[in-house]
Amino acid sequence: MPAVAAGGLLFVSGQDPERGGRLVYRGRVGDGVTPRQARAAVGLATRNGLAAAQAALGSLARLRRCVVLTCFVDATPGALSPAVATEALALLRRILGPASRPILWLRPARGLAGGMPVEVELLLELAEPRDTA
Amino acid sequence: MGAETRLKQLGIELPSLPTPMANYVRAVRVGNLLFLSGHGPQKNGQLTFLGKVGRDLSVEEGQQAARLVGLNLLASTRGALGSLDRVKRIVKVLGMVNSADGFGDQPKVINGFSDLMVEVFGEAGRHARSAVGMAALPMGIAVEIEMIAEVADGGAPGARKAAPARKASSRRSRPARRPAARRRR
Repeated sequence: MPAVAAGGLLFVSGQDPERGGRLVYRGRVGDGVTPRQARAAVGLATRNGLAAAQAALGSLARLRRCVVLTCFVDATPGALSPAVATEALALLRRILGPASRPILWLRPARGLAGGMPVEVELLLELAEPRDTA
Repeated sequence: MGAETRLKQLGIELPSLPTPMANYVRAVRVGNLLFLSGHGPQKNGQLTFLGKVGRDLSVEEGQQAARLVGLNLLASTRGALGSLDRVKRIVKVLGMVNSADGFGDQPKVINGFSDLMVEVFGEAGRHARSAVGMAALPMGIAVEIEMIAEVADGGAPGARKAAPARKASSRRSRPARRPAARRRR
């Protein structure tokens, strides 16, 4: 399922850097994918995550904050950096407000579906816990 | 039909409680959420399905490994809650596949786990999920899976006894609506 609400939280499934059902980025960060492209990929996947949240809730106004931004990154040694989340964090700040900065979990991965460089999960807090009605 | 009844109907017997590999616990409950540690393909206290999917194991063997991990997670869940009937739903899963270079079918492998959850819990077994590849997993296992489950309020969801007293403020949350876009993982 794209998103599941439980315990006042919304868990969003891993999102791809895709548009219209097509992966926009393929390859490893540091080998075929530049840091700039990696930032854009994480930003795109995060945007897709927010879309999934909106579809599940009806409106993003029902979110209090993003608690965790998790970035799975397939990178060559030395190419893994928290800077990969810069665009995604800026997007979350714009959409959810400056007071809702999440913690960042940067997780090295080796092999993501379709050879994509990144996959993004969002853990969001609902504005009214236990009420998704 | 409750999950325990479904298990019996499917002829599934859960393994004995899996052994944590270090100084941690199998599951922690916080409010109505049950957080489970990463579990591996354990059988009779031994780890099986070692190696990389896409090199040492086929996708199908990876799926079998994922299914076995699922049985271990169910054993720990039953151990924590007393009965699988106390699971309201499976919420969020992280499936990790020990992957050969260039292997990109992690979602198919983890379907071995996800399909089991739907077999046992029906609609309540459908979950949010990430399926990712890893360069290595502990002890060289092929698949490791973490899971978060929601615990039913005040007793088995399938039971038809009188509902126990509830807090005035508690309300059942409606399940998340599925968007029209196709489901990929």
